[in-house]
Amino acid sequence: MTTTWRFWLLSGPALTFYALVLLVPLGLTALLSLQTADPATGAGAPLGLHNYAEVLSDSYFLEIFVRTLALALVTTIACLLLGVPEAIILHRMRAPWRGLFLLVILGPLLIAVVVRTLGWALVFGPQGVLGAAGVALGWSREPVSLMYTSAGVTIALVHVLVPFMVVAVWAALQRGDAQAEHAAASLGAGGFTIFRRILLPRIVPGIASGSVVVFSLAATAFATPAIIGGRRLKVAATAAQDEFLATLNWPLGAAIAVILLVGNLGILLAYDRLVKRRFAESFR
Amino acid sequence: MPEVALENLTRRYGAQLVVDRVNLLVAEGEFLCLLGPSGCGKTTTLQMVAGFVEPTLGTVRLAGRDVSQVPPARRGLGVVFQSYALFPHMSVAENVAFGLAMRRVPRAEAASRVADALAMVRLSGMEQRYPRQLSGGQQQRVALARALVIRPQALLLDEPLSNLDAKLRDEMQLELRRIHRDAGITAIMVTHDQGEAMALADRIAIMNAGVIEQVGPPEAVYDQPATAFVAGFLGRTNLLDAAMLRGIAPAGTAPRWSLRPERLRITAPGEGQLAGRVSTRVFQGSQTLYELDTPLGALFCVQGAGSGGASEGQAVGIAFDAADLRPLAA
Repeated sequence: MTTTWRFWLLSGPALTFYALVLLVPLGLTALLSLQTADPATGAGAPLGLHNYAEVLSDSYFLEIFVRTLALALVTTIACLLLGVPEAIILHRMRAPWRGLFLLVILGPLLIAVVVRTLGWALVFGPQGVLGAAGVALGWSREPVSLMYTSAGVTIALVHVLVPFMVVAVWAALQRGDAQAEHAAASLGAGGFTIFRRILLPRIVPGIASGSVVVFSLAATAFATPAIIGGRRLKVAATAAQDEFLATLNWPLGAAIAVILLVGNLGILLAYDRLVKRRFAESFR
Repeated sequence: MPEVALENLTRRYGAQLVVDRVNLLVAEGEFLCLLGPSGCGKTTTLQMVAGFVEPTLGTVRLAGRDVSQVPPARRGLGVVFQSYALFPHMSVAENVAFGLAMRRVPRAEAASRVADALAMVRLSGMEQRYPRQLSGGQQQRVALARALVIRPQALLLDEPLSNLDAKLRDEMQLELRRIHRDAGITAIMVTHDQGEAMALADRIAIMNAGVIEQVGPPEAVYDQPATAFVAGFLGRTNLLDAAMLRGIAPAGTAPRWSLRPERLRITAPGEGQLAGRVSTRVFQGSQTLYELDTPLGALFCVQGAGSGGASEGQAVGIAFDAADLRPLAA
């Protein structure tokens, strides 16, 4: 059997699977986004770019896309600020504690998304723990609610996405030579210099992949913005769902979904190129 | 004034005493080897000198100054690690220049010092390479240059040659000797390889279970081992109980004695102090190793090339000088 033959045979099942569950629905969505909404049949001819024109020219949708982008960006930055130190501390822990704390960090991923988000709703709501604590501590007269706010959505997103950053950075830390930090110290480098010149270049690949995962998951998140953000604080994913299920304008919803996908891809590719150019030596 | 002094240096991890009251003076310009099996505390001792591990008790002095509380960055020691610990994202020149940049050495001076250091380890022309493009031996040289370029008070080497293959290791031994001589620097090297220690060191400190058992020049430690551990760890030896030697050799008061294999001579049957039989014979090129069946048990014997010899199964006589019997403390 030739190598090419074996290659296709071995990757065949996975390729078929991806073609069926990813490419076909994606292609159909793209096709749908070019059609025209019809109250009787749902969607049909004529084909055109009019749905895209509508989304991109309507300030209502633009605001939703800007909000989605801002939420994803802030979530990614927060995950970086929390996750990188977390990974470094985790890396330095000794045997029983390291496993234990890794489990704690991965904990949010073990809970179903709706359950976890409703848990946050209990914390954030007007009758919630957060508001009560604020009043008890004398920070505010009225109980503060984070429901239907960007802050609430961001906190809930960071909670579930920070493990991806920790694991990515941790994996990068595992690969390097731990003695390099000692070597730098013996050569006269202080703590901050060691971080900037030795540790950071080592974990940059982890930071890059972690950011890509966190950003794309945050930008396309549905359940968390739907429950915490509600209808008042729409993001691209919830807006698309709204067009499909509430307004019944399927082609417009499909156009939103396609713009979200293409925008997401574009931002991530640009980011990847930027990081790889700036830290070229870290990726060899 | 001694350059590096360890006074009662002790390190405890929980209930485990890893390094137990180590006292050692390393003179200026001296090459000292800390030799011992893995887990004997030699690396922990070195790390306490470097400042990476804090002593539970005791003091490290550099040129008389107590540096026990000084962070590694301000001890001014050059350290070479077993894994080389090069910075993978920096070129050879950047690696070597790192310590100079930390010391804010002006650019022009730094460049010439980097060039000198690389010339010393014979890596001129490799400045722009990256560590991943170098062989293990070359990486080792970069690590040496990086440690030496800062003109350290002393050089600490942690198993520097153990990741190299045998041939390269021999070459690097010669190289290390030359560099040490040229730089005239105080050096402490940790190793588990007795051959390496004997080849390189001015003095060897043999550690076992956190304690230094004996310190001395290689010849002295080899010829006059103080303990059974030292005798057995440093080369091959025959350990003999005092009771077994009664009537064969005029023994002293020590309970055990060491007799080096090369001090035994194989003679004609009936001659010498012992009668025996060759059970195994291993030809090793420049010498031949014999295992002899004797009334004292199995004895090792090494004979140089051209000393005739005996074949396996042959009955022989065994001769030695009583002066070569070395008393052991334990």
